[in-house]
Amino acid sequence: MSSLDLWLQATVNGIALGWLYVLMALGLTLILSIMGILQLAHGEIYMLGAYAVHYLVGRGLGLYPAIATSMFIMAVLGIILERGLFRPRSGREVVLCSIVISTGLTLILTSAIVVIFGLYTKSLPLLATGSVEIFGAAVPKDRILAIGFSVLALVLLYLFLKKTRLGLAMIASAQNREGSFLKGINPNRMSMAAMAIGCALAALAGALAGAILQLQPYMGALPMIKGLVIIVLGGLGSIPGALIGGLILGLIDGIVPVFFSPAVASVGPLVVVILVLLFRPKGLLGHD
Amino acid sequence: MRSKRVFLICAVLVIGVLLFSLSACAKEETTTSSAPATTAAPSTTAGPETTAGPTTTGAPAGEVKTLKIGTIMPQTGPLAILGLAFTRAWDLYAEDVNQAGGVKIGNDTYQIKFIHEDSKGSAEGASTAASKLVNQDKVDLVIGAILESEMAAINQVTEAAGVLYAQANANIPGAPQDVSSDKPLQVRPFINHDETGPIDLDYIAKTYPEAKKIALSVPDIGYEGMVERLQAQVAARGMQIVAQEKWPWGTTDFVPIMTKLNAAKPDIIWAMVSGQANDQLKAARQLGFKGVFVSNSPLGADVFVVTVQDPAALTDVICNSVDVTHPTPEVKKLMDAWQAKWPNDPFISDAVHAYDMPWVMVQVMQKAGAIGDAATLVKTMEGMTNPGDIQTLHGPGYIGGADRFGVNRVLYRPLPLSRIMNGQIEFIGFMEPVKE
Amino acid sequence: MWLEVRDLVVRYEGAEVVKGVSLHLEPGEIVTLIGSNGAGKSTILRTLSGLKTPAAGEIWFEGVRIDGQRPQTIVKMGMVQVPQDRGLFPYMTVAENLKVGAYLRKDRKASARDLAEVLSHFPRLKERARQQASTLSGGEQQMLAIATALMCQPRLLLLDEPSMGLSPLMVGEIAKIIREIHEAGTSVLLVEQNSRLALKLASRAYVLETGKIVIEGSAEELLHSEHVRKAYLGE
Repeated sequence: MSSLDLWLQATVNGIALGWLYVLMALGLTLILSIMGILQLAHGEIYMLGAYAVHYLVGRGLGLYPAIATSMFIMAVLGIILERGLFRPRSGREVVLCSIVISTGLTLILTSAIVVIFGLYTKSLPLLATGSVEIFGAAVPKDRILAIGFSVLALVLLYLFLKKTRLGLAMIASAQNREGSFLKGINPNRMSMAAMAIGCALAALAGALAGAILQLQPYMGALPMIKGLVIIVLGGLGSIPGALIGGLILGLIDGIVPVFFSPAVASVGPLVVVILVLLFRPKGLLGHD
Repeated sequence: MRSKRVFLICAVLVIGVLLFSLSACAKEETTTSSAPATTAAPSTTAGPETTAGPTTTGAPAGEVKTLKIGTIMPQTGPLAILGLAFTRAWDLYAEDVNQAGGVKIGNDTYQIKFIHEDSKGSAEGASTAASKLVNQDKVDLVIGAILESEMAAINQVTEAAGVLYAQANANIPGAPQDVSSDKPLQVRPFINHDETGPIDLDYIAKTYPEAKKIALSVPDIGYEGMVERLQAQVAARGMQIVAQEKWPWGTTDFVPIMTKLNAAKPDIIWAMVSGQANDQLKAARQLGFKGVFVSNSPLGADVFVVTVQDPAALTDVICNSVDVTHPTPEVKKLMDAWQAKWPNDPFISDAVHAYDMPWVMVQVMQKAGAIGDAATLVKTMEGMTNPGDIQTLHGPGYIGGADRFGVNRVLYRPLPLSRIMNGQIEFIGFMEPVKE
Repeated sequence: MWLEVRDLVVRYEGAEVVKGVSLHLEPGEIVTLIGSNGAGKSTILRTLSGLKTPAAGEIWFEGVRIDGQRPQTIVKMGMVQVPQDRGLFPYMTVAENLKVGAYLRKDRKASARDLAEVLSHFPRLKERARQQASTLSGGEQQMLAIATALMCQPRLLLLDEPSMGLSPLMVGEIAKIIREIHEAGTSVLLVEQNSRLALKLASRAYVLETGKIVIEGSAEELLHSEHVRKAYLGE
């Protein structure tokens, strides 16, 4: 096998991982910029989304309907969480409260899954089996499908944000909160929409990760960290920033272990974040 | 500006978490295994309350006494599932013994009483637990612990108190916490999964005579000694290791590792001891690897079938762990007892390893004729080197290890060998470990 | 009375900024609120729009009490503010900003028609429809802010310092726009530091000093008031 093939395989895998991170980062950045809170339990929504698919598949539902259902359930859960836990109340410090609440939520959701599904690794049906030949290199089909679904989700999100009344209002709310109030936009509805969309995207990422990797109660921590790194890297509230940041991290995870070592790959994001913060404190594509 | 503040908090958190995870992944250690699903939460139930029961042996001069065994396992945290499996197996062992009227050691008959303690998965927790067991409960024997750090902490306490310690981890020769002459009161009634190397290689040589090139997937947790040993075994059979990749503990995506191994065009991909051989198989097959896959790991063949799913991927896979689909009558008995007691919780195969541990130690005490002096027990154990000197759930075993550890304090017993073809498990048989 | 503010008291972090202000406005009027920096003008507008809850006093609009209501309710009633910072969405295009202005209108066709009409009044914005709002000049941004507010179909427009930071040429242009809006039937409550401009545009005026109304009357009267001429017109 030539080194070109290795590069190709590593790159495709990196892009697949990168897209999962992108989905996580998009949800986090939507929630962060619209609600102004750090939803630290976003990784657990990802995990719950994957377990919901596992449960539904076990009840006889097909993989794809199960993923769609799980996204819907998580969207509803997002709305419930927004209304019940994260909605600002007078006399509460929003940022600090959200950190405390979402940290607690992380523990509660993880423990709940441990009690219900146990500690052992679970799996989902494969998205596809085997590989396709691209320029002579075997590239796993499931990674390509995962990329496809993620791209589709991003395109739909982009169209929603750019072309619909609610989507434009969400961007407006993220860019100038008070300005949006004066246009008659209800901030609570924007927060609910942000949580619903963010959680649905996390569920999709979790389900895809569950299908190409595996399910564990603690699986949410890593993509959550990656998501945070990406929004720092790409710039707060920036969708292209999340995309570029996610792909950078994914490619580091896909390529560096193959050509250097896994240890270098785990240091990679740290180095990149520090460099970016040093030379471009607002992130690659962040606004002032 | 709120968003700026959030952003700052974000940045600080990210860097903090990254640094933390870096330092954490450098210290992770091996656990024994992964097994079928369970729905149970960790339990901390104490062993059955045992007092004197009817004595079957009826030794005239003896009296009924209690053998107190202290156990230390992680009962909380990510490793709690293992703690659960182990302590349940030990409770079942105590029930078996006590319901039969106890066990005769020397002139006395003993009821077995377990005192379970939680190590919390940490050295501090294990040390506290060991001190309590040794000083307060005055146990006759301490068994358990999964992590090297826990084992080191326990050994410090037990050795100072002169209490025998039977560790519950299949670790590697040369690792800081393995049995050796400088830890005089520590033994290991537990099998090493790398004992399967020659068994697997001989089976491959017979079944796949064309397969010569092996690519090794190695968890980066100090397996160098094991790799060296395997290299010699491979060379002795005219095969060769054409590629070798290390992956850090905690890896979830095995595609990069398998991409690299597969690039060497191996006939065989060999996954060394870890709980993630199934994920590695999945990745290798997704990348188009069609050769033989060896799981040199404690994962049961049934776990592969459930988690990998694809029959095409589940072909030419060689496993050598507890095969719950082909149990020995003794293993079957244990599984039935488990199911009767915890009907809602699937059997966890680690219980098989666990059950043997106190049983082996009791056999050593029977041979020594007393439960007392730890040094004498170790000496006795070191002498039980003939096949059949020890009984286990997998049939007759013996104590060995001098060739690898310098002292004979490690359990050897028959190992099951299975092959998966088209998603079906073929049981090949119980194989004797080969000394090489 | 159409809009009536009675004994309004507003506090910022404990300090009383507006200390019992009463004012009113009838349909078709341009009323101005002048006063120096920190007199509490913007705070009154923010309270009218529901961004701030008053500590005491009442606000009535079209016979409905609106103090303490949420901003979106007040916008729905037809009272729309162009805030001092212009309230734009800086990384959206000009056209997108205008579309957000029409957020409350559910009728897509009607709002598309409005968009075309509003743009016809602002040829500069039409040229820059696809440009990001943050790339516009100060005057163009102010135009966009007013145009966006117009997309909400206001009956009462609250303008907070529309001339701030603009070149004299641009100030004239904005004044022209305000007049046009008024002629088209929208009432205006104008807050300005540029008192000369404000008094030229308005029919009535209030002078606010440290949170209290000190003078009120027709614009004509105030232009001739000794106090106003000294303190606010620099004569």
